Amino acid sequence: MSETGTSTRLPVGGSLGSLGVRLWPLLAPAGLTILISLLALMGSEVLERKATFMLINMVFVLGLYTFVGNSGVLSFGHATFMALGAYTFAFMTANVRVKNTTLPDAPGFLRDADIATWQAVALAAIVPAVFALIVALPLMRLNGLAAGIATLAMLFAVGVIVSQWQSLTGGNTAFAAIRRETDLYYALVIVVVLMPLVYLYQQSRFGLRLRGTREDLLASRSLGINTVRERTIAWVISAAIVGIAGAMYAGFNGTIDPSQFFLGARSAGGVTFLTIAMLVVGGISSLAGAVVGTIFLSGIAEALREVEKATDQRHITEVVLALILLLTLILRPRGITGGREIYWPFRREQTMRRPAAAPSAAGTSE
Amino acid sequence: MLTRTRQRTRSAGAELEADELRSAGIHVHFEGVKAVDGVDLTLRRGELLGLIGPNGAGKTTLVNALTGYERPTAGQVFLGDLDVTGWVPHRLGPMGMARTFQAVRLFDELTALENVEMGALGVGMRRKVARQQAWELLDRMGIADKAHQLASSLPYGDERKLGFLRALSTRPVFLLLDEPAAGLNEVESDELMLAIGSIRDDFGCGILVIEHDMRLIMGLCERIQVLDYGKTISEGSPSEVQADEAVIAAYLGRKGMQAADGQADAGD
Repeated sequence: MSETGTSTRLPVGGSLGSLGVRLWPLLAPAGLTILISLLALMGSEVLERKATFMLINMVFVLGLYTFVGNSGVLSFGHATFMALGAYTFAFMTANVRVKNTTLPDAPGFLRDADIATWQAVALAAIVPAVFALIVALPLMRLNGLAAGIATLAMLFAVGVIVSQWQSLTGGNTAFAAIRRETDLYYALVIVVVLMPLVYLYQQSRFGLRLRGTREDLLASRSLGINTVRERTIAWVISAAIVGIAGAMYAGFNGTIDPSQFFLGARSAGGVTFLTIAMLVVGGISSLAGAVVGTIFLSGIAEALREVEKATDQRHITEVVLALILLLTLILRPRGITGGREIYWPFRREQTMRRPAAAPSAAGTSE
Repeated sequence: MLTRTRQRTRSAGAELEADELRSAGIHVHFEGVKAVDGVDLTLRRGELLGLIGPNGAGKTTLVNALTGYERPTAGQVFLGDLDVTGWVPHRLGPMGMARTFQAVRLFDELTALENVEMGALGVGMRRKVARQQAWELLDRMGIADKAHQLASSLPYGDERKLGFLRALSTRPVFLLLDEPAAGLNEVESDELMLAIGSIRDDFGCGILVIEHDMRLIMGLCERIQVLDYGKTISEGSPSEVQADEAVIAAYLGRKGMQAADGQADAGD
């Protein structure tokens, strides 16, 4: 037994290099994101804002991926968590005088709240996470289409509440004077902190168990895997991440209103459609897919907005994005990355290596 | 070797030490069809039990009832003294029950290594422990060189081995194999049966094998239970079962029985 104990250690020498190779599926998308952000920093202020917006979407898609990618259960409802995060951040940071004027009937502790930005961001993660935990009880039991429809129902229900609860949220009127602190650095720091967490979860026993349920529900149950529990864990983490995206968005825009998050005539597909398209086009079941899809579609969307401005035609963006999504589903249903991670392209055998001197003799000697 | 390093990470505690899996008068009826009609079965620890019978005899349905995939219409399932009737499958895994499927049902988009790790993770082992054990198991079946291939890319024979290893990685006390050698050629199935025998010896678990190939099952199991039309028609050692009139009648004219005769003669 002692030989097998030592045999699982990684090859001696070049341990830092081999760690890099092993972490490549994380380092590659993170590096790409950082590179693009730095390039944008060198450009105009407009470009910087566009890159910031891309990073906000990336946080959303990372959160969406955490649940959808690992569980294989589609969610149309994640914009709910973004809205909850955004409104939480708004209540916690918006100018107290403005809040007291525009929302005189809201509870005092919300009207007078004025906390540090990082605290507000943390709270914007916690509130959607708690909400997600509560709705998980019925939702996480559902599979396939039923689950997708139920998440959509959640989006509509919360949308109605947010837009109609006049005294609390101001209804469809914009919630203004939110502390605007989201810039490119701030967004990049959040992405750089969250991306390893998402990867860590995916690689943890929790993540692997959930991916097992995605691949074969019946077989995973025979191994003692509790589907509802595993899904709930991912669902709550996912809600917290998307809540942070909401806080970033509120701090980016300075004003929020329900149409930015929920489906309706004014918002077309809105953030729900955009983020799902990003994940699907990139590749639904990998971190690389989430990142590549966000970068790719953000680039295209921003280019199309320029076309819209130049030609004075609105909604070109939505139409073209829908076409891209459609083409992806038909031609490359697993997305640009094929739903796989990006592995170290050189000396591939190193990532493929088994523990040195694995006990080939020990296994059969009995 | 593996038995000694076994991780006591299950929540089950004392029940784990159950020395038998037992069904008492199990009935599973589907809209009038009596798929399983009052079967008593006992699988002891360290035992290799063969479950045979003609097509549609109710073998798989019985295994489904034992592993929580089918709720018995009547009757009970016991792990030792504990009544586990109607328990969902994922509660039985940590109690020491594992099974394989006729259709294998691998996790296609995961690697062979991850497939085998999954069983260990399912019963609560940590990733590092699960990974080391998975390497040992892959090695044991001689497919460690394919550890990083996606399960969907493996040849059929390796798929079946992987399905077996995945169940084994839960460190089962009772392992139920639903036609483990289905579709394998003679060399492959002999190899697999040998492995099943050695696993029993090393792990001390009780293994139930459903198999159509009489030659295999007669050579492997010490005890055989025969089902037909959802009822037990015979039970005993391979030679007793083969001599049983009821079994001969159920299998009458079936090629498998002749093959089994040949095997038993050669084996004795």
